[in-house]
Amino acid sequence: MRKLIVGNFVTVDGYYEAKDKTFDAFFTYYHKDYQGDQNFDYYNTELLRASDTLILSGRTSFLGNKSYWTSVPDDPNATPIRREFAQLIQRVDKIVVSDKIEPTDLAPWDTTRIVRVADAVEEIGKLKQGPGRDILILMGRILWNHLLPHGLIDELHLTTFPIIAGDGIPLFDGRPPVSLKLKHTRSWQGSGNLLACYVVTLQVE
Amino acid sequence: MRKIIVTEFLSLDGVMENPMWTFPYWNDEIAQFKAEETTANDVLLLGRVTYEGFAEAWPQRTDEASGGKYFNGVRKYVVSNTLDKAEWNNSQIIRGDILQEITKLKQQDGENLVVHGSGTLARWLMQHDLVDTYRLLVYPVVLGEGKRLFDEGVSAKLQLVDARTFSSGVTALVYEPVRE
Repeated sequence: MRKLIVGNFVTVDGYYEAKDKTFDAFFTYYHKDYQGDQNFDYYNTELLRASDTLILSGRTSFLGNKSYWTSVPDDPNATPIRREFAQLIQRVDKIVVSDKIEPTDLAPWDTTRIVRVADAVEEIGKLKQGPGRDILILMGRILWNHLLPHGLIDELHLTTFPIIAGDGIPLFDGRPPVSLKLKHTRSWQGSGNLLACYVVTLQVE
Repeated sequence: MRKIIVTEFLSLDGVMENPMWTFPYWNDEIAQFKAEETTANDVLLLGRVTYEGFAEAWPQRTDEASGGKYFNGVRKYVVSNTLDKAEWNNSQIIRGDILQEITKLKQQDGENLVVHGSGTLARWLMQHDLVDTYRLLVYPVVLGEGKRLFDEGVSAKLQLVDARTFSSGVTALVYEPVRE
């Protein structure tokens, strides 16, 4: 059985993104000593290396990711770790869960498979039963909050950034019927991030 | 100059209210972390709700191991404009110009002013940029409801100064706000 791992960052006050649906606003309040901290990039790359399927959530996010990551190889200022991530995300099997996306949106990530929201639980359940390595969701809170009560998420890897955002969209939707066991944590010299990896178990009532 | 330390039990989704859910996770490591916040010369600064909860619970526990000796003995200030009297041992009410009163306390010599729980007070201190250290114990539970520590509208730059992992699945994060 393949594991489905969620990698996500979160602010100290529990927000996923700002109310305008971007992450940029968070970083107004980012300690200058942490500017240029690449540890989150390194960790995401580590997760992606260990995975052979990446699930993306929503048309806007898919297009944003596609547009950004396909531009990285031509960006002279891109860091080496982002270059590696760009290669990995190009190659990995991708699924996009969205009701709005069309096949014409996919190029040049043509290998991406479209799954409609109503089919997501069944399709992802089937995917987990098949052969292969880890399945990954990076960010994508709407999708993974939707999957949590179905027992489809195996691990939550949450990196707390040293920011009190003050405002935003919370990471969790309500109270998912799951229990969490802390597997390990990681911190990095010179970084304000703390990674906590939780194993998720569905609580059957 | 005293420092204001805000120390909290938080669920993974940031809830701090009535932290009964922390009990199953209590262990020596957490006890040690909490013991670091209870030096003899500290002063407690509490909101009314937490004060009333403490004033009911702690007098029944007088032994040293539970922390009862410390909590019952330590100097306590309760910030409230509605409370009439503070009868718990060594307690005093702060009311009126709270900013001025707390600033005065902060300027005294001595150890820390420690805020346990007290969500409304903690948020007020954040809004006035008076918090010097956050000591957060983050529990592996998602509650979905309850009062959250961090209210909308307060932002802060933080520096992570300590992070520890406890065997019961709790993480301890210590942050200091950065003032520029």
